[in-house]
Amino acid sequence: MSRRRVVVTGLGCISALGPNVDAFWQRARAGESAIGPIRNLDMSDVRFQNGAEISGFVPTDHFDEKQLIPLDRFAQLAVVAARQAVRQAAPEWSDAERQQTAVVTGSCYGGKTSEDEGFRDIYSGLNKRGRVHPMTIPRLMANAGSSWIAMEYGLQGPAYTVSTACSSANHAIGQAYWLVRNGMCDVALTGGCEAPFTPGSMKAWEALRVVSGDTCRPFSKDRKGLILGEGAAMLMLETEERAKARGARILGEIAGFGMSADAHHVTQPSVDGPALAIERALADGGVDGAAIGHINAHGTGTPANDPVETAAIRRVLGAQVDKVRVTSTKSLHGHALGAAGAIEAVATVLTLQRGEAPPTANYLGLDPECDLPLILSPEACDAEYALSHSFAFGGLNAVVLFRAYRA
Amino acid sequence: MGNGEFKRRGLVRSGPNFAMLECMSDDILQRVIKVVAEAQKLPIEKVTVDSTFEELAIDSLDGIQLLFHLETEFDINIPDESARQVRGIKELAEGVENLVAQKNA
Repeated sequence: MSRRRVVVTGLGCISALGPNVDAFWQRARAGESAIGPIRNLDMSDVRFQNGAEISGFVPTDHFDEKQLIPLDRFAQLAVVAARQAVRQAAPEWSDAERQQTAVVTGSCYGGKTSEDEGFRDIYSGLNKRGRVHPMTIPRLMANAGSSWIAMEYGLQGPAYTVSTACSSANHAIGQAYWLVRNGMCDVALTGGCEAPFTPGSMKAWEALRVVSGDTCRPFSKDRKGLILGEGAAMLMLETEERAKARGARILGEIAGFGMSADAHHVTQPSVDGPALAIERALADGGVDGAAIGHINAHGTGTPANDPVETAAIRRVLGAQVDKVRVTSTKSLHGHALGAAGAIEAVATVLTLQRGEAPPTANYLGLDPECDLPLILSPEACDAEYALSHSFAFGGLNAVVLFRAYRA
Repeated sequence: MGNGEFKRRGLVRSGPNFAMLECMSDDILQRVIKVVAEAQKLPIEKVTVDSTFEELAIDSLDGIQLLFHLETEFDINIPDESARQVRGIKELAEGVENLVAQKNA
């Protein structure tokens, strides 16, 4: 099978850190956390109060009223992020290329906003007629992001959505990368989208007892759990050959992808699964651990994840671990579930491209079980290769290997 | 569907019902027009008794939303099958009038 180099020529991101990639990076590089009290929901009956919400998002700034009728918030975010990536990449699609451009998105649980609202009114008797809005099904389907992006640009290639909880976007990006690398398509739009802030969803997270009562402190002593976030991020991928031929600005490269299953426990992470995914990403990219200079960790800030991720990194990298600089940007933009890997992909591409690494915020001090070379204040980064980790509930792991683009 | 009863009577009946157009309630017609205009985000003057769905660019997805809003407006249940036959405002208002009459009977 022919193996082609796959480059990133466009990025889009809307998250708690800001409405676009520039706003995102301005705050991320400075280590400014966007975590704060959840404002768009009544949280009076929920034990945790903080989240990473997008502020100031006005759907009618992006869509007309009629377009919005079938669009759940998570799909709106997907289209907004895709538009940014397309605008930056200016992909100059021919009709034939539109026909085979791929769209692969990740989403953990789809249009939860619409589903929760519609079902709540029925179950509570608030909705006297016992009906839900006719667009409820199109709004809640997890593939809405892919579908609306494909329709927006008339893209008729392979288009689908991966749902692997917190690994969804990394699985999506890896799949899109392989489609382009292996010659199935020349161009792909890929990423993830999630809008988890609904009353029912908050109660479900509360019951699982993994959300922090204060903030997200990855790898830190006294960390109390994750902080939920919302957002979407999209990457435009194309072959290096195509990007060069049209004189596109190349922002970075994807060099490998690895995935694995823990086959162990539904919420308790294992070291084996993540370690296998990291090893496979390295092997897929044809590099060994010594090549890695930066890791954007899964780093949820839960008591369970962080020591296990530390052990997995140490197992794979061995003595090389001291040469690696590790961050978890979830401390900045929260855990955006099915969008997390995509937002972190944007951070990782920018880290390698701009030569500066975003720090891990909210760190209180060493936990000996999470002893990693953490980035705790803004610093320069001269890494060539970086890993971005996603390890999902259900034990499904996906690791993307990025490379600074050198012509 | 609330009481579980699913009426199979048509939104639009053919033949004899056509005569009802002559005495169609203007109130119902105006309310139907208002619902259509609001749902389609159209200026109300664009929607007339003679408008067809095609002219108003109402596709099948718009159609099911219209039915949803009309059910709310008139507190009626509109069955699926007959609703599919409706092609314009005149038929729509007539069908609604029938269902309102049945409800009040």
